[in-house]
Amino acid sequence: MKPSCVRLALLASAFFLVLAVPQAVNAQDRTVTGTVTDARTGEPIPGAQVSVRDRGIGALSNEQGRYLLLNVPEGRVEVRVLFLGFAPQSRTVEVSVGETVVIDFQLTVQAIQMEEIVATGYAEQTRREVSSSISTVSSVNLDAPAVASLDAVLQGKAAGVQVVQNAGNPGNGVTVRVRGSSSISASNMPLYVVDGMPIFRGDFSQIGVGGQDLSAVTGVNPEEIESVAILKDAAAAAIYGSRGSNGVVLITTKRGNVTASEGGSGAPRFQFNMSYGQQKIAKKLDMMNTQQWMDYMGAAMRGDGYSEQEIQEEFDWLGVDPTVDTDWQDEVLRTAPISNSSLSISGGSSRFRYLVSGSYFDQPGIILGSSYDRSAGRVNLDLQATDDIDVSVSMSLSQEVNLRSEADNSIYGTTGNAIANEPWVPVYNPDGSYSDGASYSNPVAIGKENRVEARTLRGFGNVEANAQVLPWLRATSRVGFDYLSLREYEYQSPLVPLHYAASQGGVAQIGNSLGRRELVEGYLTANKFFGAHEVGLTTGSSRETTTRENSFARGEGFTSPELHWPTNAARPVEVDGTSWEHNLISAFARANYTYDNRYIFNGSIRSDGSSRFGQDNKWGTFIAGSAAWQMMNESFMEGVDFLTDLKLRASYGETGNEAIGDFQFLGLYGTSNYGDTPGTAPTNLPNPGLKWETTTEWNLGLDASAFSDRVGMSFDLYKKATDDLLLNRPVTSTSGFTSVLANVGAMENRGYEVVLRTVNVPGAGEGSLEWTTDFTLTHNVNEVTKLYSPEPGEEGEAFMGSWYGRVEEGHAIGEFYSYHYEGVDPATGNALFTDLDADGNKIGTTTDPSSEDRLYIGSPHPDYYGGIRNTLRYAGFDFTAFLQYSEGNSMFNGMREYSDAGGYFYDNKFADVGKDYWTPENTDASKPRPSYWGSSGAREESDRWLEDASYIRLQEVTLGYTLPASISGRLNMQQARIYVAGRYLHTWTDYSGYSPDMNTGGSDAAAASLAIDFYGYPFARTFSIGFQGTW
Amino acid sequence: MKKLRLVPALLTVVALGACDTDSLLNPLPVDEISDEIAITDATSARAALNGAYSSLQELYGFEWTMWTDLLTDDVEHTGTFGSFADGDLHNFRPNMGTIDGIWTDHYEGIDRVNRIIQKVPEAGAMDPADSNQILGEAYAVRALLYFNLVRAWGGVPLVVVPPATLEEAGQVSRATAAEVWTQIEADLAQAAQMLSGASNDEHTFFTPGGVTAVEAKVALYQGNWATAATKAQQLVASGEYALVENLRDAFTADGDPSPEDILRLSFTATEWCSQGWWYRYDGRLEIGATWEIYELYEPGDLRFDLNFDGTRNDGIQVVKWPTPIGAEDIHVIRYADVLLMLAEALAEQNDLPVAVGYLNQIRARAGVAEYVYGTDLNTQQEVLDAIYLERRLELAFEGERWHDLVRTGRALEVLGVSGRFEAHEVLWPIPVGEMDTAPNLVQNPGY
Repeated sequence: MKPSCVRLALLASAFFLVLAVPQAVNAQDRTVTGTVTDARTGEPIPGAQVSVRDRGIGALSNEQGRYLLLNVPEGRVEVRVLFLGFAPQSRTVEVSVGETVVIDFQLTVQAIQMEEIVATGYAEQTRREVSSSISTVSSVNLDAPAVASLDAVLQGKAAGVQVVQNAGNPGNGVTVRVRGSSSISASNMPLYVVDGMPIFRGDFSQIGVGGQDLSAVTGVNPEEIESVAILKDAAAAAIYGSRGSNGVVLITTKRGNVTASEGGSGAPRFQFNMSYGQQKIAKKLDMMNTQQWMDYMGAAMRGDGYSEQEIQEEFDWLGVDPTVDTDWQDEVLRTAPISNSSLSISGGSSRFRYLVSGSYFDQPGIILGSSYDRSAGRVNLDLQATDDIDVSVSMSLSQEVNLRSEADNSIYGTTGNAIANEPWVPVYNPDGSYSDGASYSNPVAIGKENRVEARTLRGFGNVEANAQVLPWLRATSRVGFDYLSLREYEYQSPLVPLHYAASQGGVAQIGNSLGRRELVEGYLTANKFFGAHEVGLTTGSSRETTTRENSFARGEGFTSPELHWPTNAARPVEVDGTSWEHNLISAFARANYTYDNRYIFNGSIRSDGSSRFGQDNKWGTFIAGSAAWQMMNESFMEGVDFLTDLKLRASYGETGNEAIGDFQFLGLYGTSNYGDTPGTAPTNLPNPGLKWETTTEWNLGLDASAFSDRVGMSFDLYKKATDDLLLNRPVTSTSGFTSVLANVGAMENRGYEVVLRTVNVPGAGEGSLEWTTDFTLTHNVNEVTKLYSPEPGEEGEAFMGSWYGRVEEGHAIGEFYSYHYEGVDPATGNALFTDLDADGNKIGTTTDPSSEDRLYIGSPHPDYYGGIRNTLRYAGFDFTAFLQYSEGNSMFNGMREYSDAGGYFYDNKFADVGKDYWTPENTDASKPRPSYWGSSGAREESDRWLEDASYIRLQEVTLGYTLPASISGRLNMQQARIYVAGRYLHTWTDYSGYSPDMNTGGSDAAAASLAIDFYGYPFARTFSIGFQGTW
Repeated sequence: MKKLRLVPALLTVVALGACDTDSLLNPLPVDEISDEIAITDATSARAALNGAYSSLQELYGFEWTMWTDLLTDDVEHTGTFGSFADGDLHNFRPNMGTIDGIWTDHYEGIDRVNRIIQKVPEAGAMDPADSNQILGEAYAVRALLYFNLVRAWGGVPLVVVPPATLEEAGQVSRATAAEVWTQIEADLAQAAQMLSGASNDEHTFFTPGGVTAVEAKVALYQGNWATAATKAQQLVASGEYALVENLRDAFTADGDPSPEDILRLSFTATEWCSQGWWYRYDGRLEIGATWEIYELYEPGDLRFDLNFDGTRNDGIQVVKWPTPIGAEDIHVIRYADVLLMLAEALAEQNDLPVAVGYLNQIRARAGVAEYVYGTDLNTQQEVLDAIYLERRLELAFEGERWHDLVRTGRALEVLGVSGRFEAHEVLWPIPVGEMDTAPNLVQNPGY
């Protein structure tokens, strides 16, 4: 970090403002005014947002639907109107000094929203000008009660964007993949940009609780968001160059607007939202009770030759108490409330607009000991300093408190122990202490006595100044920041039986993580019309500096349960900490050209220098171009009446990925102590050639609208090829290392996306029925096309991920690779697996498969996924039902490794395990014979534990009622709405675990280890009631 | 057009993007240094050598000791971890994580040592006393690591110089077992020469005596009885070592020094010797003793109380490591082992009465009756069997039994009883990841 640079930049910004001050303030001599009405009913629409494009001038319509825009710059301007539930509209007009222009808008419901504003990075366009592939989600679709984070709300709502919740933990990180995974070892998370500031993403935590992670993105409150644009193809994302290949999520937050009044300064507008709900587990696992457990384990022993007496002895030896029947899930589950309340105040005058909002979201978890809450505040200010200079401030401050629940791939977790502990174990011993099972701990003790607390304090935002240098030339400079402070504390109580902490007299850990990012950038935007030609140009540069710092301490052994900070420990066993630095210097330019609203061309270039890459490859340049043909504006289409819009798009672009750790190209030595003596050891092999991962992508698109805008569709076809893959390539450990990060290999994603919107019933007249349907569908095929091979031209080396996912040329990343279960040998009851010869041909079956008998048994990737949303309005009522689906993906049910292992483990088992297993009387059973010694092959990893995880879920249902104006008016309210909402209502699936939406690896799981369920936190079904009021 | 004045102001901001480009794009970590300056003088070379000992910690404080015992009839799996179950059941597979980890940790240590052996002679002006001490220990550590590898896998790739490139590293192939033994002996000879005259006091590092003890063991494993006896005899004659009166003094919670130490790996709670954690009731009891070993001790054998403290229905804990905290040390070789090796080497050379004499030192300390040669033990085989049994009782849970069974050819006879052991398992499978990344490697038979 070079503070001098920041100081210089701030100085320059100040200088820039000082220069501006002498400019004369010419008040109110160019005005645009008019009314906004509902085309269907003719009624005025209050609260519609009217703005002048690219000028930072905006207003809200008042109760009479009237709006007033003052100080509109002279010349050709575009005036837009936006109101939720209606198609946006825009009108281009010439404004001259002393003139008042009147524009009235009649809003309608349309299937394709050509006037929708689309953020494109350093600029915005209307939908009709877009020639690349960008999905947008507006705040009406983000309005989902009982969801903490933005990424979770996006699930199923944008084609090409796959969202996996990973687990039901409150406040955990969510997986978001734009057009598939494009990297093996670098991150696959998209870049998030809020109001121009690329914010932190990913996990800052130092204390692991199993698979799930914290995500920096949860600090963004979805309620504060006006719209989200997802730059999907490389042509759209190339403006973010080296960070574009996983897609870019551009978030625009809500801002203040003036309500029309003749004085130009309207009354403040208060918006109050509140919801309260109850969460209950959506699906419990059907586990064995004590009798079923004893029956099954008895069968397992009998099969291995135990006599009835020996079986009883074994049960006695284990301490099985047949009179106890504990439902461990019930013991740790609870019905938990969930609530959210927010208040925003906005308004202003023609020269100064503000929005101040605050919110509190509170979600105790359905599992004992877990909760998440977030307090968030936002201040957005817009100052028209002079006629030519405006300044915007966007600031967000939030605090998250997360009581995390250990789960997922952890023997220490509440969920895992609740599933696995035996039913014959009581919760408490007669003396009141916590009991333990044959090999599992007490989940109630874990939930009550242990504590994992994560407190995140987050502030991010930016100050932006725009100068209208010439009517067609605008200059922008932006100083942005993102500060994240995460303090974690964990206490593992010695009261929890069998756990490590019990052996140590308790364990306490604290971690402090700090992230600091500063952005300084400036750019010029030129827009000029020459008759039918419209030319736009943006060029600028950007510098982003990021530092991260960690410190960590761990202590073991505490004298008193009251004194359990690491400093109280008898043994301070670990002190740790380090820092990282990551800098990015960039220059970028974009040009767009439109001819006669028929031919649209966009091109961009970005050059990034990154501190993450080797000496030989610091800089990378990324170019993109796209074109669109607005066919409806051609004369030959004039007779085609059923079509209202037809646009063809084509694009090509390059993007990069630099989301790897810092310093990875250096040969390094770190600390490796011995006894009490300091030691050093190699930590990294040098690789001066380390460079960007490069993705090139082709996109072909078609947008069409027909039957008076009753049916609209968008279709995109793409092929995305990633080369110079950043891959932790396994190397022979005789080198001293097991892997090295290198640019090897290539991967491809190809697929198509369909967005269909229909206005089924357009509504006619006040109080009539209106019904729209939105449908998205995505098909993506991932293929690893090249991996490292020692000999050029030879096939690359395949390798396994950390679980069962394999990476091999010609296959999708992380495809499941294991033995194929062929059923039971009727004679012995032992499991049979496919026996392959050296070439992979089936030669029979075997009970003792070797590693050469492995084959591809399924894929974690869906063939299709998407969502269907139906919205109905009738009189004051509104109704939304949102279904989300995924088809063709498999899930490795890792819990079966213990639960369905034929009784080798004492674990409690899924009830289905006790059905249809082989016995001498039932020789054509589907499951092998249970074996206490594990000798029937039942504990062999195979596709016996792989399950179809396709699903359709009723994700959101909302029924709302807006009070008639006569009533709300009496309450001095502009609008009042009450609603009931349900979430995660029902999932239709064959998957036997808690949910097919599990992913034990968390939000940035290794791309080769996907779709594993290993004791993840269950999902909750939520019912809420809510109120939204505007004064 | 005075608005145009804004342009230079704005361009100032834009131009800032380029400031300090070079330093911005080349930051360095705060807690790591470049490998080029890691070994430059005696202090930094000693630090790198400590890093190599740290590799030994990872092995001996974790899988190498505990997991090899799990393969025998002394230890059984009592917990839930699949990898432990696989060890207990002898589900030896090339894709076993534990076997992969043991292989990898050995070569990690070898790489650390190789870098020292390569860099120290180049490292400018170093006092020869310092460089001899450091290099001598480095050669000894390398010998110990290859000794383990050859015992577990037979012939393994011999890497004695850090590979210049990864491509070169990938071209390795297996040396024969004989070649590995030769390298071990050469390294030990080099170590002995460089450490000659060095201090014999600090037993948590290689001393001249530590080198001699490993030489004795290496000879014993190859059946070079005369050499084994000579080397062991050297240690006995030196008078520097003695059996502790109370065995607990050699297995204390903090890993205190004792006269029995020859090479003892030192641990702090942070570095965590995991033996107690895996074996104890106040630990995880992931593994426990078998009834067989539990019932094998004669009444009054003091080693029973050293090893055991009550039983429970979910398994028999082992308390040789007195806490689950992990500050206990691990004996790579202690004096009792040397006496038993000496007894065995002599017995193999038919020097039976003397052999029984050394064996009796161990029995006397354990508080059990000494053998009378000619009465209790008459033939060479009886003496050898008594020595084997004593090794089992004395060195129980210290990672010796598996290798003893294999080297004396008794593995199939003893472990085959359970039906879980197959003859080819005396050599472990080469990890599948290694086979993939070094295509010239040939798998051991049977896998």
